[in-house]
This record gives sequence, structure tokens and C-alpha cells, in this order.
Amino acid sequence: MEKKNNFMQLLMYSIKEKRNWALLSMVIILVTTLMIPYILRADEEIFIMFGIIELFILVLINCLVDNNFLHNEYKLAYYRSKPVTLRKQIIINIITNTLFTAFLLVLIIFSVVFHGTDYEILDIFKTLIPWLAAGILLASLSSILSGNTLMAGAMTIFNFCLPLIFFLVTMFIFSILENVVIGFNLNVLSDYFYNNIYRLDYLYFVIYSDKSIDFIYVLLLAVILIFISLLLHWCIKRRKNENTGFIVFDGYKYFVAVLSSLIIPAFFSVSTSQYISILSRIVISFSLAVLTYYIIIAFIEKSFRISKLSIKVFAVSMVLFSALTGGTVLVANQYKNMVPDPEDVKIAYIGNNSWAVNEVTRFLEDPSRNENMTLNELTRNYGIITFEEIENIESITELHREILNNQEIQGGDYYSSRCIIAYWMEDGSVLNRYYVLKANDSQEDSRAVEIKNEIAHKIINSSEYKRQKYYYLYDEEYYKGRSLYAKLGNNHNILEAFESVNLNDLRDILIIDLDDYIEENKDAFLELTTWYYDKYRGREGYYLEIYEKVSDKDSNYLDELFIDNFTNTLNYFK
Amino acid sequence: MLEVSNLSKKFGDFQVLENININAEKNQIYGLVGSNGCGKTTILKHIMRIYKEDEGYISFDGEEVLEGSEIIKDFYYVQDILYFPYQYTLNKLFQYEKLMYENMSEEKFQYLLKYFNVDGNKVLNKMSKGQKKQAAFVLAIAAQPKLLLLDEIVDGLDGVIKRKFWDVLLKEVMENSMTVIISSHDLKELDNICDKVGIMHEGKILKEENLEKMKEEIKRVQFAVDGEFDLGELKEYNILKTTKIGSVYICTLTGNIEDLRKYLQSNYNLLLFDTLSMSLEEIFITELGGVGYGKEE
Repeated sequence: MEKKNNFMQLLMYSIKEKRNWALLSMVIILVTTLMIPYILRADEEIFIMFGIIELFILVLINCLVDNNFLHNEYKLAYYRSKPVTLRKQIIINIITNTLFTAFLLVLIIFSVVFHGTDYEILDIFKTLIPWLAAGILLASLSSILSGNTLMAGAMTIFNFCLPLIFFLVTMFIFSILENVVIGFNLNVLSDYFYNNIYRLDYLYFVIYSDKSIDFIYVLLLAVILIFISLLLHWCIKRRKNENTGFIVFDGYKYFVAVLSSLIIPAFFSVSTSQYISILSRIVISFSLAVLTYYIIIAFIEKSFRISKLSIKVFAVSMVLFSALTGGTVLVANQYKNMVPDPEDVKIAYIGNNSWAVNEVTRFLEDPSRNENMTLNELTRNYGIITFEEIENIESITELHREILNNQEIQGGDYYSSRCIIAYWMEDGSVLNRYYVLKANDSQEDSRAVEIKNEIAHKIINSSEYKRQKYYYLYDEEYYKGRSLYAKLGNNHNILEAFESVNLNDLRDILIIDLDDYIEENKDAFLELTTWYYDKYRGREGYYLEIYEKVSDKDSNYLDELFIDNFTNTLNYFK
Repeated sequence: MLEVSNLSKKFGDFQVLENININAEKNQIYGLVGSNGCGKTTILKHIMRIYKEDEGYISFDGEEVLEGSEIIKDFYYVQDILYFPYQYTLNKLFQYEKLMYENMSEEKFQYLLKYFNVDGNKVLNKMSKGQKKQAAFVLAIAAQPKLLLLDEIVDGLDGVIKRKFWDVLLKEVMENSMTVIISSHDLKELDNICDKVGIMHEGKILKEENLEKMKEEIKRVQFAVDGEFDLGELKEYNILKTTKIGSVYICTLTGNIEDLRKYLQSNYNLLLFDTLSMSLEEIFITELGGVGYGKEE
């Protein structure tokens, strides 16, 4: 006898049963997003955002309530004894909750239309919909994995944050690497990892909030949903219903405990990066990991006595984590002394602005990102100095070798003691190193400091450097056809007032003074690597404010030059 | 026919079931009896595929019982502590279950509502324990399953309702070729209705037998002889338990009673020899006593 397929009937029944929740949710959403802002004549966008938060909460509660039959022995026995497979029951819940969510989204769109709010607010839906779709599946997955509804809620959030947690653990490894291998830096590595390998902005679809939907969006969403569905299918088949409690699967229990035990030490290590020694960092991180693991296992197993298996799992996990960290350190060690052949370098950078390196990298990867802008314009706008001339690239590699050899500099504060060297290679790759330099506080420069200053001196006296640093004087292309002005000021005597002068009248003598100043600079290395060098040196007295007149009313500030020792220029003003 | 073969299950390190074998025929009421926590409910949950066995095999009418298999649509399980969906009445629950059980009979449901005098419009969770049991039983019978699993179904019911339960159950078994597995502590009740019994202790089936046959196998006699008597002489009659009241010996044994009578007559002046009937409860106590249960100091 052929048995009837009752799936559709049960689905319809489940949808009908959802009507009270739908009515209640509708009232909540409409009151918050429509009625209150209408009566108050308030900024409806805030209320729409509030409505979206409510939507998340309502959907999560509904998913957990629908799946909570898995978390009570007698409820579970009732539903599991019925001739409907667990897979079907879960699918029915997922479909019902998807429809429920769609209904709430429509209500929010209705509120947006009603208020005539800028439709751009709906761009958030491009991120919201994948979050909700994945959230509904993750709530079901977490309910299957958990033996308790509160735990299922916590695990839904935990599972949703898993990509972030993995990123944090990777940063943890980088923070240790930073202390062990010279030239490697947590921020540089994590930026590289985030921008080139582990695209969290894609994984969480946040990149689409200001980007239109494309094929990658559809593909990525499909892959994520299929992946969670397959996991769900796998877990449904293997669920041990007798394990009601906090977490049903032993493997998952340890997975959660081990990962969670890494979160707190990772936060500690990342946030204290560069401030404490590697030994202190490892000892404190390990202690925090042990403590966190014990608390989580005690909570999950509802016992203060920790089992031998739990200890074994922790020990093995720590060995694996240490091996992974050690492996990363070993790999990094092979590259720490690497200085490229100047012939292979297309562009080089030396300074203490990691953000500058990222900007140039992004530009070189995709020049269309900055419409109609050349690299020269980009670097000028951002105050970045890059080098393409072979002599300068050779000097930078020479300086790089010297830094590897000895990290001593004369004086310097926190930022000026950070030195980033980046090479954009001819083959398209990027080599990026970050050094923490040691300040020599003695009155006399050591030989190591002198060598660095000698090399840096060559660079800062190059026309390429001057053309970028003082573009308003040395860059003919830039200078042509612009209304550039200079205004004298004196920070010793703010009452001393001066008229602005056209830079045309001043340019030649200013160049002579500036050339002399650079030639005589004893702190060439700091001048080269510290963008706020003048301010750092606390130079006072007369200064020139350089600006461009765009119109009669508007002008663009370009630079501030300290000219206390610029005899020719000061004479001109006298 | 329900066949459970070599079913074993561990909860963590604890062996809950060990090599369980059950054979329940059609038109048969099978009583699953055992000490507290011996694994009766766990077996029923395995049959319903709520739990998955570590080892073993469950089949019904020759077909393996798997989650989602067609045969499981003809199973109905009533658990010991009842659960009903929130705010459901019996009528509403009947409509819900009708979507899942294709043999669910409206006619039988209405008849049983009247027979047990249960209010179909009353919210189930507001009913008394006895009323809930009746409601669950009504639904189970209305579903007309081929295999009905009842876990402590008459626990907490009065005598009249119990009688009604058994009347309905016996009628269903006879008319609809149903197989019923009942787990219960109320051995006196099971004694009257079970065809076959499985006695469990600490996750094992100690004995599975047709109840009548079991009663034939385990017997009790009382006798008295003139003069001194040594019980050690009766070893060959498999004496399980002996009690002496005055000069009268009461023995539970599995050996042949007639041979025992002849032996006593030929060797002693036999003053009294009577065969006593054994109840299921007495058999249960005897069997469990054999494995030391209840004999702890």
C-alpha cells in the first residue's frame, strides 16, 4: 500500500500555527517603525534600524522556539515518535521561519515606503538577507547540536561569529610572530590576511552595503547556505537524542571549549601587542586559556570535576596550536632577512605609515578604484612618498639591510621608532616589512645610526624625494598654472601679522634655503621615515603656510614649512 | 512480528542495554517488566528510533526498522510522562496527528471519547494525570497502529479505568492483529493480560517466555515430612528458593514436581504436598532474586 506524503499538509499546518507569532511581530514592527516615528515626526531611519534589530531578535526567538522540541526529553520523545523524520521536521521549521522572516521584511519595506524614507536605507538588505538566511539555518543547526534552548541561542551566535573567531585566532598567532621574527607586524600581517586571503567583508556580505549585487554575491550566498545545509543534514543523521543537556555532540563541545579558550588570550595578546615581552605574553595567554577552558567545560558538563578526556583534548589542542604557531614562525624566519634585488623592484616605500602602504597596494591592484587619478596624484593627496628611481630603490634596500643588521636610531618617539619598508615588485607581488627600532638616547650617534643617516641623506637629497615632499616647489608639472601662495607666521609671536605672497615671487629663494636645509640635515633617517618630522622636532619660530587659491573665497591648505633658519626667505619678508 | 536482536547501547561509559533480544508476535501483548532503571523505556525509544543503537537490529514483519522507513508509520508510542503541545485540546491534537497517521479513525476516536468520558475540548495540559493517560490512550487506539508501545500506561489509574483500558486493548489486539508492548511496574495488571513477558534487569533480558509457559516452568510447592529432613537432598530439582514455616517447607523450583513428590514419598513419611500457583510478580521476584536483586544486606 502506498503511504501518503504528508509533508505539504504538515508545512501548511506549521504555517497556520505561526499566525499568532506573525500577528504579534507585525504589531511590534509596525508600532516601532511606522506609528511611533509618524506621531513623533522623528527621524524614521533610526526607527527603521531599530525595527531591523527587532526583526533579528524575533526571528532568532522563533527559530529557537520551533526547534526547542529537541531540548526536552518528553517533548522530543513525542515528536520523534511521530512518523515524520527529524529532517522533515527541521525543514518544515526552516521554511516556516523563512516565510515568517520574509513577512517581517515586507513590513519594514512598507514602513520605509510609508515614510518616504531614502530608499538607500534598503541597501542594508543586501547584507541583511544573507545574515537572516544563514541565521535561520544556523539556529536549526545549533538546536541540533545543543541539548538546551538557551545553549542553542548562544551557539547560534557563536557559529555565526565563527569566521570572526578564526580571524581572531589567526591574529593571535600573528601577535606571537610579531615578537619573535623581526620585520613582521601584527597589523601588517592581519591587513594582508584580511585584504588578500580571508575576506571577511565578503563572508559577511558587508562589502555589498555600498556595492551592487554581482555573481560573486549569488555564488557566495549559495555556497554558504549549501554548506550549512549539508552540515545540518550530517548532524541530523548523527544526533544522539539521549544527550540532552548543554551540547549533544562531544566533538562540538570540545570544539566550542577549545575555540572559546583561545578567544580571551587572543584578545589579550592582540591588544597588548608590542607592549609586553614574548615570555610574559605566552605565560599570561596560556594561563588565560587554561582558565577559560576549565570554566567552559565545567559549565557544559555541569561539574567542577574535569574529566581526563577534557584534559587530553585541551592538551592536544594546545600542542596543535603551538605547532601551528611554531610552523608559522619557522616559515616567517626563512623570509626575515630577505631584501629584494633593486632591479626587481618597481616601487619602494620607507616610512611609518602602514595605511599608506595599503593605499598604494590597493591602487596598484585596481587603478580604476580612484577614478582618473595617477599614482603620483594619489601619493601627493595622501602625503605618501614612494620611490621609483633605481638609485633611491638601491638606497632603500641598503638601508633595509642596515636595519636588519642593527635597529638603533637616534631618539624618536613611539611612531618614529616604527619603520615600514615596502616593495611593490615588477612581478606584481608586494614585500612588506615592519621594524620596531631602538632609540639610542646617548648624546653621540653610534656608527649604526650614522650609517642610517648617511644612506637616508642620499635619499632625501634626491630630486624624486623633494619632488614629492615639497611638490609645490619642485614638481614643475604640479606648479604649472596654479595660484600658489605663502603666508608667513610666527608661533612665538602670534600678533605678528604678515601678508600672503605669491609663491612665484618666493619660489627660487625658498628652494635655495630648502636645499641647504636638507643638505645640512643631521637627522636624515628621521626626516625620511617620520612624516611629521618637523612637528616631532618641535621646531618653532617663523613658518610658511603654503596654500592654493582655488577661487576668491576658497583655498586649499598644502603644507606648513618651518623656516626659522631660512635666511634668504626671511630676508625677503623683511 | 517485532524482533529486537542483540540490541546494545551505551550512554557515555554506562552500558544501558546489553544484547537485548525481544520477539513479540502479532496479536500478542508483550509485557516488559524489570527493576527500576533497567532500560525498559530505553528499549521502547530504540524501537521508535528516538535513540540509535550502538549494536543490534530491530525489524518488524521482517523489515528493518529505520528512521523514516515506511513501517514506522504504523507504530505508535505512548510515553510514561506525557507531553502534549502547548494549549492543545484532544480534538485539536487528533486533527494534527491525523495528518501523520493515515489510519487514524475519526469514528473510533469519537467512540472512545464517549467510552472513557473524556472532554475533547478541554486543554490537555489542564487535565489530571489520569485524564491525560486516557487522552493519550484514545489517540493511540484511534491511530490503529500495527505496533503499539505503551510505557507505564496504567500507572496512576483507578481500577475501573484500568479495566476499561484492558478491555479496549484486548479487543483491538484480537480484531486488528496488533502487537502491543507494555512496560509496567504493575505486575498484577500485566499478569491478567500479557501473552508473553520479558524480564529485565540492569540492561539485560533475564528471561523471555510465554507467560503460561513461564508459570509452568517455575513452580511452587509446600510440603511437610515426618522427622528430620535435609534440603541438600533436593539439589537435582533446581530449588530456587525455600522458606520454612513451622514444619512446612515452601519451595520455588524449576525441576519436575511429580518426581519430587515421588522422591519424598519413597524416602519420607510425606504428611503434606501441595502445588501452589505463581503470579507474575512472584516469578519476577524469584528471577531477580536469582541475580541478587533485592537481596542486598
